[in-house]
Amino acid sequence: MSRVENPAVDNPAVDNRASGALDGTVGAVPSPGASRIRGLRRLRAWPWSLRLGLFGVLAVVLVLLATPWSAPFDPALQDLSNRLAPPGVVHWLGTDQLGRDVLSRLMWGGRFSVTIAAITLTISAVFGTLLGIVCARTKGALDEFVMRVSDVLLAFPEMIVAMFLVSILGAGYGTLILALAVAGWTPFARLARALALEIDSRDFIEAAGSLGFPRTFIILRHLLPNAFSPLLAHASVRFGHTLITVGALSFLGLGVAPPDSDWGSMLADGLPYMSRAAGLVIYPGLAIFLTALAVTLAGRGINVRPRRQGRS
Amino acid sequence: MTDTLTISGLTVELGPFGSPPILDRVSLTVGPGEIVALVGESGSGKSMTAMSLMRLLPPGARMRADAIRLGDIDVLHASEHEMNHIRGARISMLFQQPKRMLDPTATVGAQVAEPLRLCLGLSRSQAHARVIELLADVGIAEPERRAHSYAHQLSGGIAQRVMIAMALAGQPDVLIADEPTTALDVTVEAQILQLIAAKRAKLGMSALFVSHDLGVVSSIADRIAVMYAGRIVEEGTTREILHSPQHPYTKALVKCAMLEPEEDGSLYTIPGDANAARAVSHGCRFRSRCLVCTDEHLEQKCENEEPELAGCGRAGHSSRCWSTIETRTAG
Repeated sequence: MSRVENPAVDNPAVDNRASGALDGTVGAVPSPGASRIRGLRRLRAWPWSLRLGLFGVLAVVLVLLATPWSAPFDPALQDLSNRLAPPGVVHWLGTDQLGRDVLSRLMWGGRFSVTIAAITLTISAVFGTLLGIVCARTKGALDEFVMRVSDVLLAFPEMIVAMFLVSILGAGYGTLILALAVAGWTPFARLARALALEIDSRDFIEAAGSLGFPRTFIILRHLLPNAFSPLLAHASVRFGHTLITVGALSFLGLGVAPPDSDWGSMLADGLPYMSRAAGLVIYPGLAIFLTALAVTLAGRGINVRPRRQGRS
Repeated sequence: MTDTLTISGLTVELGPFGSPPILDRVSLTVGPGEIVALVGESGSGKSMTAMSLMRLLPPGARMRADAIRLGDIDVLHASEHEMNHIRGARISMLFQQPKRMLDPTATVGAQVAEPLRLCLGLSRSQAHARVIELLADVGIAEPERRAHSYAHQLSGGIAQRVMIAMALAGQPDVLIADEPTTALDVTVEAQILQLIAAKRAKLGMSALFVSHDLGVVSSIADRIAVMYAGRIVEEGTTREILHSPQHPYTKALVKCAMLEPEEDGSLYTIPGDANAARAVSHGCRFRSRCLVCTDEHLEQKCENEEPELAGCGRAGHSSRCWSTIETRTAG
């Protein structure tokens, strides 16, 4: 049996399908275990945004995971004799208004910011996606109701909704996450609904129905995997957004409260000293910006990749 | 001997109430081990008939029938839950665009395993072994490796073989093939037809073969039913239909399929437009395109009423045209 590299350009001369023999078997397999291995080999062919983004995300995650062991100082350790020190050998990024090590605070603060953003995003993505798919499948009154609710929520900026909820429910990590999730599920519901409507009209869903598969099975095994890559890409864009929102809420004093601190509250704390120690504002701002950028780039890359592969 | 599949008086309406039905009192039987072909041009209701049997009509379609029976199962009144046990296990389907019928995100092996695990309740490893068997059974080389392929890596012919493997996984009594070879080239088409015929012989299942191509149908079907504008206009054995078609529409179809050039070198086409037939509210729907009607001075009759399907010529051969009935009563 011949090995044909690309099944789309089968050579009839070597492929016995041209002989028309029924007892003979047809279709040489391109290469053993093809796609999975090829996917890894194609690492170089990945778009630059995916590679750069993944590298950035990986770096941030590793640094934050290693923080308890690698942070040079206790983030709460005050040294009032050494306030607002410039970057130096002992304190790499200097100290803040209470003489605390900025680098250590940045590392510990990142754990709060990133974790809260990730939990929020997971909750709103899962909830929004399921709701969107259920809406697309059932249509009717439920669909109408959910979509109108999401219209109302979308009419206000996410920040306003989250601020409103936090001020009603009171501060705290639980309410912060809840508020952000309530404000953030709508784009997922809308995207998932649109994707589900589109995928539902594709032929393989009909074929799955013709084999008597139950509805939930078709949704989980055929609908969701096909909606996954645009949803993941959207989630990554939202992650940057959520990170900034968490930071902004903390900046306004509605998010992470002392003694804990995250990037947003560091920004707020450093604001009065901006003229004397600009680093207090620049570093947390830069951390938020770069983390959001890395995740967004990776998401863009994910969205580009399967389209290219699909054409092969 | 009871028929494997019985449809009687199947009517399907789509769109606003009162609009002419898509299917109009379609009746058809398929015996055990028999392959019956449903032939007609696009929009004649062939696929609709097939989808009605699966109870997979598009939302908004209204379906009525006197009976739809699959052996001793009442398909017409089965609940949706019962239907899920009937689909795939008792009746399964092949489609026109095999590559688009496979989920692009799952491997071939995973997809063929799904009906096995869901409908037959096999374990993961049992299902895997059976998948390899099934793939080898439909003539796919190196089934172990092929099971790891994705839909976009398959050619159309292989994809249709995979679909056949999936359709046969539940060992159905009836296979509905909705133009399974239309998207394939001729050599692959011949192989797929042979494969279906071989499976029929081996498993003893019946098949309803939907096609617009008389040539394809003639090689595989035992009987042919010709559809026009939602009605069956002629029914008979393959031999009868091809050699002595009675209904003017069938005659025209057979003439088209012959591909014999006219005097001026052009190929024969049926005059007029099939879509126009939908607007005809009474009388024969084919009459505006029919030559027999004017030749035999039947205009009045054809305009007033379309006859029921009635026997003509030999046993089992029936047609729905005044001219054939006239001949019969006269002879």
